[in-house]
Amino acid sequence: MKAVLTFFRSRRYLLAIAFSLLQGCSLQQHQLNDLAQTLDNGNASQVLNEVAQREYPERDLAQYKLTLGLLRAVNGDFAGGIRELQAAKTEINQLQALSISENIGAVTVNETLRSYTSTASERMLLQQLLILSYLMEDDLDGARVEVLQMQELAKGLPEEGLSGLVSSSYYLGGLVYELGEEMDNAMISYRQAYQVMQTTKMPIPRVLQDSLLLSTQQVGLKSEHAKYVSEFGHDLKALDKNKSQLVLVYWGGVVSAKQQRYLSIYEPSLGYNISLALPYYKKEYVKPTPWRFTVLGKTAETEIFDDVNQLARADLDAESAAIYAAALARVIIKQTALHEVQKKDEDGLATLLLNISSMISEMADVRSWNMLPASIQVQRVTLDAGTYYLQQPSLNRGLSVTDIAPVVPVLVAPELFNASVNGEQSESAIETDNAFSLPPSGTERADASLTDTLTGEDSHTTDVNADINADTLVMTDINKVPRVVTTDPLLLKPGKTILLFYSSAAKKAYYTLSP
Amino acid sequence: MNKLLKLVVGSILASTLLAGCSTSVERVDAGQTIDLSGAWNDTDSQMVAQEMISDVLARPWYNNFTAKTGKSPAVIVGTVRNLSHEHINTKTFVNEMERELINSGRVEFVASSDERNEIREERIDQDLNSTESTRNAAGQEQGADFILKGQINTIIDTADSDQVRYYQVDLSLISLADNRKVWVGQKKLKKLVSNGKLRY
Repeated sequence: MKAVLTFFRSRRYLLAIAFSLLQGCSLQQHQLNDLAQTLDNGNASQVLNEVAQREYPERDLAQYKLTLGLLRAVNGDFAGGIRELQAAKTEINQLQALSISENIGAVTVNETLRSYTSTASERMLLQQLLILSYLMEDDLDGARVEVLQMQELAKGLPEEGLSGLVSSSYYLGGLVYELGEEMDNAMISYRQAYQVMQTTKMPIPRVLQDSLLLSTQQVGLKSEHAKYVSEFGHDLKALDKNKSQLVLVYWGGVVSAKQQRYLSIYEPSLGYNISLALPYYKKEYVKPTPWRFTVLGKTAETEIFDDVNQLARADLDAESAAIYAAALARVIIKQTALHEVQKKDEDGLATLLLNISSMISEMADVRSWNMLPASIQVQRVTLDAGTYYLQQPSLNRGLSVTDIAPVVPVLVAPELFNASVNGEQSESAIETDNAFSLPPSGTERADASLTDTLTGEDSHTTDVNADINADTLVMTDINKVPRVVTTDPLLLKPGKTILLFYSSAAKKAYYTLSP
Repeated sequence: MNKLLKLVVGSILASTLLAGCSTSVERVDAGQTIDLSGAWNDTDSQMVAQEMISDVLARPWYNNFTAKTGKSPAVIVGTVRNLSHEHINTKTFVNEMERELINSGRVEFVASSDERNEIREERIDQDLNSTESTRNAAGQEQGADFILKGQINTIIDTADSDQVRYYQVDLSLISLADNRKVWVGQKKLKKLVSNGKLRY
């Protein structure tokens, strides 16, 4: 009893409480990992709602902003995504200077006392997401700024290893220059993507091969062009100026989370434990596979540019020397502290409590931008100029690009339903297997609704109808009822390129309406 | 041992306290130069706009035009593209140039294409709703003689925590009658930004 009172009087319990509070960091990351799992199931809007309401420690600001920015973007709020991601970038830049207090904390308590500063690959992917977001916001100059910043960032990447070697970011850089009709810069970016893929030993995707062939041809680099022809085994003619291109960027899956490897050994000769925690990634993970979609009834596949799981592991490898050095210093400091306490500790209670605190406080920094995709894939499709429609994936159908407007009976719009189907009209309505046919008296109202929808004045109707699948269309006699087009037309102008961004986390494709 | 504990607890407390520092606001003169991050700022925008407009108005094209036509040239500011490494709000830069041009009193100034569309809508509204005596007729707009266009480029050179930022603003004045470039102006800025290597 006396020993307990002495302990409380000495205020050592404050230290124990502080160490216990640190467990909150680990809990936060576990919750984020659970949310990442939910994201992997395609519930991006649910995850966004949960993350937006979360509180986070100040030192995790960059990680929080990165996560929130990504979630906003994959949910289609690109302007909001840009805001959060730019805030994350500002925070990361400010944290590049070495922190004295955080380093002391890292070598005396644990690594989670450092502010989250992101890894090299995460910074390259931050740039990529910003490029995509600006393009989706129809801001080509904004996207170009991010490409230039990405290229500056790339100059500071580790010279060895694969950390930060994100080929898709370079490829998107090339696309931005191409959209701005700067073919010389585009060619340099495509070449950088090619060099990165050679280093990472990824097979060069056909889509990158074609971009290299076309850009070297257009810029007039004959010897480099011939080299690519020989290496890839094919050549390309310049694109027909009357054709259009659709570039699909696919973000698939969710990257695996960092784990903790914890080691605590009781050393009888010392009388206390030696504890050590280090972060690691599981060696096994699901390798990326091409993603299928449909264009004018034909199946197309994306091509793999980046295996983000591989990049995450490379990032950890690049940081491992510093992590091991800090861990070693921490073990020495903690053991020295225990040894000092033990010398003056008659009843052994203080040693016991400090030993427990030391064990509890020892934890690995497993923070990461854990909602990034597992793979980044790209495909380019050449189409005749004209009007197309994008059908979002549903349970029984993948993403498809068609040239036939997807239409549904207008009656499913709730405001029209409430307005027209009542009283006698509802009695005269004929119920079919899948939908109602509209009684004649409602036709006039329906036409007005149709006009509003087509002129973009009533987007709600379009959203509501977007989930109606093709089966409903087939089984409903659409000739007898007014119809609405369920999606905005995708207008492909001659010689123009449109970017589609699809994230499996939201199961939705986005494109800019005025490219 | 006590020293070590104090150091650990002290560093945690210091970090917490620093994070909780309150916001302070101080009013400063709008013309005062304040460089925080080293990025393009209001001072750069004002300085470049003033110098380039002074230059454009001092060049021979102005006297040549007035001598030939007997009137002041009508100018419109077109697009200034941001091709730099930073997100620069080119609208404030364009507004600075418009202000400098108008206040010089030497050129007529024509509304931009966005502004013109709004004015045309207003004129259509006047056609329907205003009295005949106050109504402004369509087709009476003054066409511009010249358009001012340009771009902002940067070159960044970084070594460790030091960075040299080189900005080059290129503007050209183009005759709308025959696409002749009657003036090409260039303004360069160079900044050395040294970032701190240590923080608390």
